[in-house]
Amino acid sequence: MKTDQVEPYLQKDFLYDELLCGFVSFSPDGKILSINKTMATWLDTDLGTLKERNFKTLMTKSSMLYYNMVVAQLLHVNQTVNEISLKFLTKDGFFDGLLNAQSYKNDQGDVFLINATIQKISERKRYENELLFEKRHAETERRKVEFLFNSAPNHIWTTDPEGKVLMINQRVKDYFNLEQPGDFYGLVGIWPEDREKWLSKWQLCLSTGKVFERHIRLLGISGFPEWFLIRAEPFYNDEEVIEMWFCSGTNINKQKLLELATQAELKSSLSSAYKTLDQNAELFVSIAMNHSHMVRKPLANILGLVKLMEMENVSGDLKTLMELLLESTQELDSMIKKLNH
Amino acid sequence: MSHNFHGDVLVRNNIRIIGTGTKTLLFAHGFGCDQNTWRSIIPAFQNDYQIVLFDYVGAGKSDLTAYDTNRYNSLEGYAQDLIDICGQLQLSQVIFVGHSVSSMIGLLALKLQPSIFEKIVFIGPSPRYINGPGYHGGIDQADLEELLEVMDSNYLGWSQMIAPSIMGNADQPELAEGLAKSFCSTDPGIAKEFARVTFLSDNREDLRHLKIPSLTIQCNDDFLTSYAVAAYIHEHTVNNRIVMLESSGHCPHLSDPVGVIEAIKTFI
Repeated sequence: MKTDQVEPYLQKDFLYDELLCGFVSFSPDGKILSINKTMATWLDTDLGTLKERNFKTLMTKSSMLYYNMVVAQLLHVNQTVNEISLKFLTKDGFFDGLLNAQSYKNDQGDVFLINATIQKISERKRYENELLFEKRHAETERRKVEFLFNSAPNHIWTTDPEGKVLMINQRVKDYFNLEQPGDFYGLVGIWPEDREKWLSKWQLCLSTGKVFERHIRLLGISGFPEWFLIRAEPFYNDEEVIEMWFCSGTNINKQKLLELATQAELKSSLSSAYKTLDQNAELFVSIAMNHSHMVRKPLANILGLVKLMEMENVSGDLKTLMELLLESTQELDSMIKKLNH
Repeated sequence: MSHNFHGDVLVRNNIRIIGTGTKTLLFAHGFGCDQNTWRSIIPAFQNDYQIVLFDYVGAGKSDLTAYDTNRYNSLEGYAQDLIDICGQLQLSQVIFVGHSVSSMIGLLALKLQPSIFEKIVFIGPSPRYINGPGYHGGIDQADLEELLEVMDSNYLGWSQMIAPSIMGNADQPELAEGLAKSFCSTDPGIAKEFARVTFLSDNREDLRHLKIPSLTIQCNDDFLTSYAVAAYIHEHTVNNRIVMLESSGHCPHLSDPVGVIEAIKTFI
């Protein structure tokens, strides 16, 4: 490598003017004191003309406003700014640049000079804009979901895999007069009588990943418990691990109270039917007993008469018939005795 | 969040009361600033007036947790801050001094509660920043959208750069000495929203509610507003005076405190 060939390219003047970086020095009010050739080329403006310009006028209106509102103040306070994204005007439009700058103060603490470098980042900015677009799109989608989250007529909340309440929608906030989730499981909102059952079932679902579904009474600012259908489903991430639980509560108080009332009515009807049956059974027994008593008297007479007839000397068919008569009479007597008992 | 809206206004808005006097001067800072922005002109008034300084929620040492996007998505939310402050301190017939967007915030507070101010001083005011038919606010709609984009793309860097200023002022006395520090004590996220609310506001219709004496102080070379805007305010209000200052920039109370002090003293 020939030294004389390289030497000109290492000269500070050459480096200042030709390096692919804009160099600008200016006073706090923006008056340009020095600017390099690369910057002039990027700005598509004559170098001599630029030295009479104000640094702030090299930028688009929006960048100039941002510079005045934010960057200039940061240069006063921190004396340095890094990677500020600004737009610089060209004849055909603008180019995106990253500004790094250092300010210098005098003994009175006043800034008297600012040295700045500008990196042209048009290609990078295009990519960044795409990312920003995606970010805004994601933000818009997030707002839509949040809107849905809050406008749904149901109570909606999320929990972490351990069941800690993370987010609550507006319905929950309004119902319990809360700004943020209260206790870990949100137990305070559950009617005391239902807490234990709810908690044991919920903890079982948390440990197994099973869907939770249960009718529970909640206690809101009304001061009266209301029935809700509480449902919680786990959300699995790409690694098939539960990341969070999505939970909802639907007010079913009217239906539930109606259902409970119907059940109570049915129970009452059944009870009444059983009672009627019992009463009928008793009546039947009483009748049977009465009738058995009425029948037993002539039956006893018949039995006595048959015994008397046995004492007579009868034979042949008559005797057989008498034996059959006695047997039948005893059978009837036995049956009536059973009825009495 | 809705807490801290009543009992803790003093804390929420980092209210400071200094000076001696029967009349009260309420100083309201503009976008990106906090109450420190007034330190060059306060000494000129503190012997004759009770001075109330505060930070809007999101700025300076205000309670950032009290920031409510629903409340502060319009200038009326900030106007309510002024009403809260005066209510908490039981003030009425106050002399209000508002810088930049605070001018219109003061006007809105006056509209909501007419007895709140006796006189009102606007420094670099604008009832609408965006140009419209027959109105030159100074910024095109496209410029505004691009500005919000620039703020968006610099959000991360901005946050990182100003974080030490927000968190470390107490043990960095050299910062406390710098007037410009006030520009950097605003939470960037809130500042971005404040910028959106500020630049999208249109209070031209509200000007007709301004019946009390008012003063507009305007720099000759202001990157945000102009004489034309000051003249618009003058034409659409009663009892308004304009004082033009030779200094440049949007913050004459920093760049030309003497001029601002003289203009205010003459007016009040």
